[in-house]
Amino acid sequence: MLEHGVDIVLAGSIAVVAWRVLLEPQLFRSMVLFIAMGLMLSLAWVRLAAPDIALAEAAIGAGLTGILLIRAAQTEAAQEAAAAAREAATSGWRRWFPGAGRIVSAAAALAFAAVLLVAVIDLPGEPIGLTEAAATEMEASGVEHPVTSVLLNFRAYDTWLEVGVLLLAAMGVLAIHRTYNLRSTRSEEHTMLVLTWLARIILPLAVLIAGYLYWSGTHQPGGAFQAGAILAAALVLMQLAGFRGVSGLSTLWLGAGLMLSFAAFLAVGFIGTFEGEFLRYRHATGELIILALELTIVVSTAVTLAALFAGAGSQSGDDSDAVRARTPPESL
Amino acid sequence: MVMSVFLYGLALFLILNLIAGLVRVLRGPTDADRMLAAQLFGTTGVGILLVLAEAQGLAALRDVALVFALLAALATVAFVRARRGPGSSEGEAGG
Amino acid sequence: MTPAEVIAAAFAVTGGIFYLAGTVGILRFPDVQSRLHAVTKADNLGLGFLAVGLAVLAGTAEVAAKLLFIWFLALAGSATACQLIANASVDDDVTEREQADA
Repeated sequence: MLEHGVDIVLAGSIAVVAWRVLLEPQLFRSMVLFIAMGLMLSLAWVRLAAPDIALAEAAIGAGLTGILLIRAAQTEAAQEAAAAAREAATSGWRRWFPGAGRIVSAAAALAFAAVLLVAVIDLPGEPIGLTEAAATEMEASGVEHPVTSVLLNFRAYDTWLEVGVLLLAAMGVLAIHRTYNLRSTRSEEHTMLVLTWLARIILPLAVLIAGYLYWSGTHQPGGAFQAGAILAAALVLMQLAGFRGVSGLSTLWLGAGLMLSFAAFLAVGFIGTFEGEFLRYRHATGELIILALELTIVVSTAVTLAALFAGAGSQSGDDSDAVRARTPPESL
Repeated sequence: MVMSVFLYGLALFLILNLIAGLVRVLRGPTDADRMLAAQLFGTTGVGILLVLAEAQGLAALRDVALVFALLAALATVAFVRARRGPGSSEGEAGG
Repeated sequence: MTPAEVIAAAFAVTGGIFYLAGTVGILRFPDVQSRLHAVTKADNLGLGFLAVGLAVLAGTAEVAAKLLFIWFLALAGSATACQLIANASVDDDVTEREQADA
């Protein structure tokens, strides 16, 4: 009985919080609500007995996304954009149709909800899909955890492209900065003793926990992306505590870290073509290849996410930013 | 059976605590208050996950709690750094 | 219920009471500095009692060690966040007073 109570309260509050996140005029309030929503979504995945996704949501949704938003909202560009949005909402043709944008998006959302509803009603009663096929082939995949065997073997193609998406995002950050490394991004000028203390405790433990999740991914929930996200959070904490972190990397090392996983998938894929199919592994070596590919995912995910954070804090384009990063602030 | 009902009741109670904490996010009045509420979500969330790990018999959920506990302070650190960082302390003429 | 379950439930309920105290505190205390106490003290004590209760229930040393480790991480994070938020709120107060004086 009570477990239904948990589910109903959770589902209801997620809907309400999501609604508030969207309609909240004040940026910071909206961001904290978004962090809370990440936590609630993670709990929802837990209730759906999907600990793999709950782990990812915990590391990325509640951890990294929140700090990325806080960092990005602090830039002048974001402040200007918010002001411009407020301005645009009360000028031009919108002045004559107040709330027009809201009505249009509400209509679009309702239409989409209707389509989803029809799709759900149309679902066949019996579950169809590849669950059974995947379960029978599990032994051949090289690992014992079904989620990992699907991600890294049966659907390795998808995972390769996801790694590509991450790479594209990092390239976008570098393109905006018109640079090949992140050395010119903002770094913390003054150290705070309490942060140094926290970094000294968290950093080694983050490496330990990331390694644990990476290793346990072969036989229980865990995995490379989650481990990478935790390492990324550790790199971000380093940077916030006043160490160089990912922005200390040279062009060569940063580029290597960003591209490692994509390149590794490509290489494994081509080797697979000799056996008749792109990205096909020989069964005997399946586990080794999966572990190696996962290790590259850990490294690339960590560097990419940390680079997104480092890039989010500074302004685009001109050189004044690089100068500002090196000049100590007079006012402090 | 009794234990299962007790654990789900405890989880529900903690979720209600979390929802009550949302009121502080809306009321503020300062951003520091809101960040403090986020910290409350972290501690409560870890508690909920640990209870559900026992109730649902899923040991992996303790790993989720572990990740939450590890990263709980990160948002607050970013928040404080964003306010006091050199980028934000410059008095550019706004508006 | 076995004796172990009764002990576990007692610890868990105690933890729940501290969580409740923390929530009441963050809603009812008058300013940020007071509310810091509610979150970083009461809630973490609640988590500690809860962890002990669940460790008794699980009954294995591995789980107990993991729960204690999680509690330690939460304590480290909370203590740091408390310091940082307290500093930030003091800065806020100073700025407000300066503005009032000007």
